[in-house]
Amino acid sequence: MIQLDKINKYYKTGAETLRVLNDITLNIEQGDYISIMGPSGSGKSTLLNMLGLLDVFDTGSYRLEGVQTEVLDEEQRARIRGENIGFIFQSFQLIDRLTAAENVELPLILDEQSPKERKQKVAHVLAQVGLSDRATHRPGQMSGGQLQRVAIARAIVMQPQLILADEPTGNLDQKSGKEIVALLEELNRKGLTVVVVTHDLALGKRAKRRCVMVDGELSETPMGDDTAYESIVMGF
Amino acid sequence: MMLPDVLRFSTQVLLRNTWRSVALMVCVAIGVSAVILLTGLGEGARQYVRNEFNALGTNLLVIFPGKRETAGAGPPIYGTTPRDLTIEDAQHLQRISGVDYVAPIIAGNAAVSHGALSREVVTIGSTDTFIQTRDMVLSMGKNLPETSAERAEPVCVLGMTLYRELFGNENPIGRIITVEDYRYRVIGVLAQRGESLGLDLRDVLLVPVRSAEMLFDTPALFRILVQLNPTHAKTDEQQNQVVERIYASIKERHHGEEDITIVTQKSMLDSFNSILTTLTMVIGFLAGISLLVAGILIMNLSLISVQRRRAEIGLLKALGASIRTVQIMILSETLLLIFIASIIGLGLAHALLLTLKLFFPYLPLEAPFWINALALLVALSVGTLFSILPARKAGSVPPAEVLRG
Repeated sequence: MIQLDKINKYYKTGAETLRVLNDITLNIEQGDYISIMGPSGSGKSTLLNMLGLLDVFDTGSYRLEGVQTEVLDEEQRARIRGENIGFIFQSFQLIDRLTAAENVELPLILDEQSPKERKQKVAHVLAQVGLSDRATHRPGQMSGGQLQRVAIARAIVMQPQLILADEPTGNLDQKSGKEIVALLEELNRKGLTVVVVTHDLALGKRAKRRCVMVDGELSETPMGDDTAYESIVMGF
Repeated sequence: MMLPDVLRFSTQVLLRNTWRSVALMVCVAIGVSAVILLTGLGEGARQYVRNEFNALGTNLLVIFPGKRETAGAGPPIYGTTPRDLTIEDAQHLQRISGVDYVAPIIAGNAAVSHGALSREVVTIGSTDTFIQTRDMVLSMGKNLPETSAERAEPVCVLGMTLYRELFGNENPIGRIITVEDYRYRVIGVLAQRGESLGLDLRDVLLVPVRSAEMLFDTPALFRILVQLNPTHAKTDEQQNQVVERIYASIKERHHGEEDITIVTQKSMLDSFNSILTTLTMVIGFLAGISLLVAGILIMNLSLISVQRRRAEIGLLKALGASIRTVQIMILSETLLLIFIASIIGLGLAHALLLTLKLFFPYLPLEAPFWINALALLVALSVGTLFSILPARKAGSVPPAEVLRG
């Protein structure tokens, strides 16, 4: 589904050039559930932005569903983001003036779907995340866990193949965090590919594939050796 | 993004920022209403002048003594008059083909009194044809005698105001009034008329032109009004032929000197029309500057708004909004605001015009459709122009950067 080959990304800060992604090579198959852990500033979020076509890299190659992404223009990248990728952010990124249902409806509006179709799909995904009774509530009237569930509903309403979650439990209490983890796992069981960037060891451990990122370099840790994984991650 | 969704989204944004939206709407509404109101006033003035000219009578020529000359500096002036225009000149013109009526005029101010009441009014010496050339009617009594150009009969016709002031509701017909040192018998009263190019026709005294000669002690005519025949002098060409015949006639009578100036009603109307149209355009343009100022204000506030909504814009882009979609959304917010404000401005301007009409009923204060359409178009164009920069800024928001954290 995703083939990253020697991806490099540089940031210029004055006279200094910072290499934030260092020869990243990664293959992700349909239905994978990958966690990426690493210290702050290691390049996790930058990598996630590359995967979500929100940012561009300087060198390397990125194929998504067989499409060479570096040759796409902004219009094409926007269309792929809307149709194939669902985003979940640490700070939820919900629009305050809109209700939960209206927030979830946004990708469908941008995709110019009919109001009737939109209504059905929104009701369906809100039920899926257990928020049917909160459809008319605005973000200010909901708890952190509920807000993240609205964000997940918005991420899946277009039925994308890929879910990219950036610290999805970062702003949640333990109980809400567990609910979100369970929800992501359920989505993965239904066949969605999930890539999670997290500081949450519990979340990171539950992924099918575990990656660690340090100073822009990505490495995958073997499954089954929780102790080794924990020792690496705890060292951050 | 479909149009109803764009409008819904824009409405939500405008409602969310109520005070900002209201402040911008007030600016635009004032600008639009200023354009309509001022151009409406200009149009009203133009229409007023047109009506005044029509009140002078159709197919009217005015003959002035003296030849219009071009001066070295300053506006054109009327040259000195080697020969006065006389009543005989006017009588001669009556024979010209294409001429219906000729009204010689001697005019001046005279003190008119009846009993203890006295009033200084414009006194016009003319003939019975005067009221035809000025498109006037009598409310009582009769017109000046047909022999006004031959005999200085001591008779007069009163304007309505003069009649009311001197006689109240009494019947003035047959009564004697004093004009300066002469006694005149009232034979008629003019019907109510408004002002005509600054002359209040309700407050005039009409006397035979020969009587005016004696009254003002001058044989020289102030001017001659010539009413052309509507059938024989219908076209511009036919009118020009009559004008040429008048020039020729006067030239012959004045020993080869072409010492008069003939102004047609159409040329006067065209001149005023041109001046007032230019004036209307100028004041409309000046009012339009307020729209320009509103546009700059909109641009600044939109830029601030885009800056504050970077995360939201970044989110929309992450959810699949293209740069164009984001730009359309920002543009539509401004255009929706301007459209609503323009409608308010249109309503405000028309309400003010209606109010002004109550105070000045004789002024045709109306903003034609094209002015309304133009004001709306200018407002929307200004809005579009000044939204380009904020829209471009919004389109260039980097989603990865603004969605961090």
